[in-house]
Amino acid sequence: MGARVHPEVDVVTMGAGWTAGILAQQLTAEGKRVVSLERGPTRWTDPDFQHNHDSLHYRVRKAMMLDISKETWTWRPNTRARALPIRRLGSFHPGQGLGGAGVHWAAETWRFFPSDFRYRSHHVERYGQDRLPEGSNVQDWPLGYDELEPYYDRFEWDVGVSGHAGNLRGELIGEGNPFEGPRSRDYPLPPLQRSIAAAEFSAAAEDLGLHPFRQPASILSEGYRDLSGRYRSGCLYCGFCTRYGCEVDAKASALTAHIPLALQTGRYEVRTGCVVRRIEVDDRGRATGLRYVDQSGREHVQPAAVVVISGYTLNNVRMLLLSRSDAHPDGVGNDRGLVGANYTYQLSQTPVTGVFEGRRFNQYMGNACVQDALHDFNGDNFDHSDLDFIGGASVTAGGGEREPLTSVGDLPVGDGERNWGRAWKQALRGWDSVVGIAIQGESLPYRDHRLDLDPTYKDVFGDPLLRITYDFRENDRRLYAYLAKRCAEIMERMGPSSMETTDELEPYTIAPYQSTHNTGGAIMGADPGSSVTDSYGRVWDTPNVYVTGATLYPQNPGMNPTGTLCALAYRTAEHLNSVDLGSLAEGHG
Amino acid sequence: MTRSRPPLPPPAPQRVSISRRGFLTGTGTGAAALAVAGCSTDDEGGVRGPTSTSTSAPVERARQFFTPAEASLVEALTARILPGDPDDPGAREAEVVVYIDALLASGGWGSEPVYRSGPFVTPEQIEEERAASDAEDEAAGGGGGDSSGSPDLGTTPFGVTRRPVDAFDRYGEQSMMTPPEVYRQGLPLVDAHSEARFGAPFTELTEGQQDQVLVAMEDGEAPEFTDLASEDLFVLLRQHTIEGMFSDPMYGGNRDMVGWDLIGWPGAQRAYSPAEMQAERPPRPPKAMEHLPAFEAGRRTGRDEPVLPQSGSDEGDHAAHGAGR
Repeated sequence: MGARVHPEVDVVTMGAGWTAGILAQQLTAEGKRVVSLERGPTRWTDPDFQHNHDSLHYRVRKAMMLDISKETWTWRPNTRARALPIRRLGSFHPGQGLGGAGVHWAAETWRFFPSDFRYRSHHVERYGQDRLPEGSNVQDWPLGYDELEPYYDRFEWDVGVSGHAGNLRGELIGEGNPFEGPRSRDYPLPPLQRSIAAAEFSAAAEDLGLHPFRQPASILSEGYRDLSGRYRSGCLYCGFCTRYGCEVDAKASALTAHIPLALQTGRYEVRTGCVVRRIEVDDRGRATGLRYVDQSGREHVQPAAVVVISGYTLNNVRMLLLSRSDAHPDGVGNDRGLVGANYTYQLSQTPVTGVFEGRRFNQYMGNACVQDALHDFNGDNFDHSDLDFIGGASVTAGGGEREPLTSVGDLPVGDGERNWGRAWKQALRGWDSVVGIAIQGESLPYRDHRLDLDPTYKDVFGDPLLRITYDFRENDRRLYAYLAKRCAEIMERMGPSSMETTDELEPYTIAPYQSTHNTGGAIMGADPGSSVTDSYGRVWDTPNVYVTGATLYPQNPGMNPTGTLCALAYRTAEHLNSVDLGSLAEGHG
Repeated sequence: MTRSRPPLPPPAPQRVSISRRGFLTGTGTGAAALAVAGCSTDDEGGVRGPTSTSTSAPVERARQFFTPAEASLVEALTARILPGDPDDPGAREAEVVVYIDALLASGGWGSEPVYRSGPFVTPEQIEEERAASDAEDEAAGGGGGDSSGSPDLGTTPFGVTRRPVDAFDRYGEQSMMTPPEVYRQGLPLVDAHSEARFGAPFTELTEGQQDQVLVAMEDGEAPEFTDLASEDLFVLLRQHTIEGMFSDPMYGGNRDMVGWDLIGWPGAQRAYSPAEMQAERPPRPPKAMEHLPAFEAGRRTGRDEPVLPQSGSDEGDHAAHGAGR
């Protein structure tokens, strides 16, 4: 039986998460017809998130994450080591289902620094070429902060972001992050309530001359009328946030405004339970649509003028590589062998832990964004002239939503004691007295860190899995060691009864969870010789295919990637609304 | 909370066949497993969960997967991982064994998706390949440089030599065995080690002796574990003790929410107020999922405002702060 071929639409997307939702809303508003193919289930705030405060199901069993029994990834530390499959979700947690991973995200929302957009130039100008780590292939982005600013602003006001501005039109205005790029408007909402530990962290940091501020978040601190015209409730600080859907819509996702708005136009359709298998291309190498399989196993083809690959970073890269044809023998976008390059990750670590005997910090309340942060040691906000690394990390403390199953296992138990028995039980009584200071650090791209197709392991259809070649490098270890000292200084100032510092970065491992901030693999750039797409995500060698998301990032700063990828999606939508979609296949011009 | 020193799953051997040795040299547990597995007959009526009013011993209600002897042994093991007594409950009082029994009966991973396609690789294979790669490096005159070969050699800028880590550990869980297989094969070996070392099965040892058995298991120093790494069983026992102690009572453990009382976690609450978050007060009494009030925040009312949730508790200060100002 042949594939069922559907009527052609203007745009078809792989996935129905943040970027597909933004594109669908923006494009359907201008009369375009859009179809999204989503591998996971349909789900809505009501009723699906109404009774979900079960941490075993959501945090430990990872109920909203990708079903890796059907398709996972393999990993190896270097090109000569064997790659083995990730058999249980660990280091990162990509999601599935309507709204994508944006439904169960932590909602920490950033704009990248202006220097992040010209990373290579900035470092070469300030420190010289030889300070770029050997083997690294850091690049400038094909657009600057100023070009993206209007789209950051739009995203923040469309969904309702809570925070203090730090730099308003070039003026440092006090309470926010003094290192951020100039913003044209303040955040639409004041910051969320901060936790006790966040306040004490900030007081200690200020004593040390640092510049802490409240975490900006796509979680409403107050009721807010968003893009949809609907009035959403402020946060209830319930303590079940990251890895859960928000039961009151206080946490923004593509489900809270964009997807419903697109559906209301009648020009948008999402087909859930549909796994995309290939980008279809014609003899000339132009894309004609997406081939996919529904839950019953039946094959379909959705023709479209424009194909958007808007799944999770890793799966976007895999789809490009799997889509081999006579015209693109190594996959779509890969005529120059650059798909899979510039894969980066992050250093998401907690270098220091303090025990405050007898104190209760209520760390089980709230969400990840009730923390405070400081960027004094992030990016190039501090002088690296006399340091032996480049880059930096954000430093945070006081995040909430702590629950037992993912936190009781490694409480400080004292020297010579084990994490079980009487000593451990004693430590459990002080569960809410333990405060960590965390870092989220840059990890640069290197030429031998890549994503490609695994030669051994297959998915449920028999297609090769994506293989990740990645490890922490010397620059990472030096960066970590420096940041660990800074974190320890702040913790000392906070006055704990005792504290533990991990001075050195442990080697990268697949477990435990670290960060779902995998980036790169189909990067954007100014030159087809060193990138896969242009600044709109338009693939150089297949110009009616677009890629969205953090897949496009040449490298990843020490911040959560979602704010920037949503801003980029707004910019791509504006571009697609300004061109004749039918003519895109004919080439960049 | 802290991810700085994660407990890594230990290397696991990959022998597929069930160990005959376990059955032949065990103290009766193995033989019981052979005879009784899957045909438990003395069930108390299947009453489980948070509303259970059963007064029968937890080991008598842990019969979906375990044999009576296995249930007693697992209860005793978990009682040393998280010790307690009726006044200060631990794993035994929380009925963790009931939780583990139900989990293993359902396949051992609960609802978590696990990739199970081969080939499975042993730690020994990885170690051999790593040694060969290092030898190549040495022959080439290079060290374990930053860009190739061994990822765990070299020194930090502060002159501290990094300790090599077992490369296999870095790949996460790779064992071919399922959790039920690890328990079924490993439990007789616990008794075999107890017998060899102290002349009695585990449940008859003193607490101090039991702790020594667990230390040997955790450190991989129980020689009776030949086809199965003792660390594998230990890691599962500890993880499952945590789950059975601190997950919702509907899963069979955490009886009367004693685990949550121990650490001061209020469980499945609807909301907290900003003021509450700032106050260093003793936690609210814990609440299980079963008692979480129904909640329909998204229901359309025709009014231009969201329907705010009611907390369902008498601590009314957190009911309505989410409203617009």
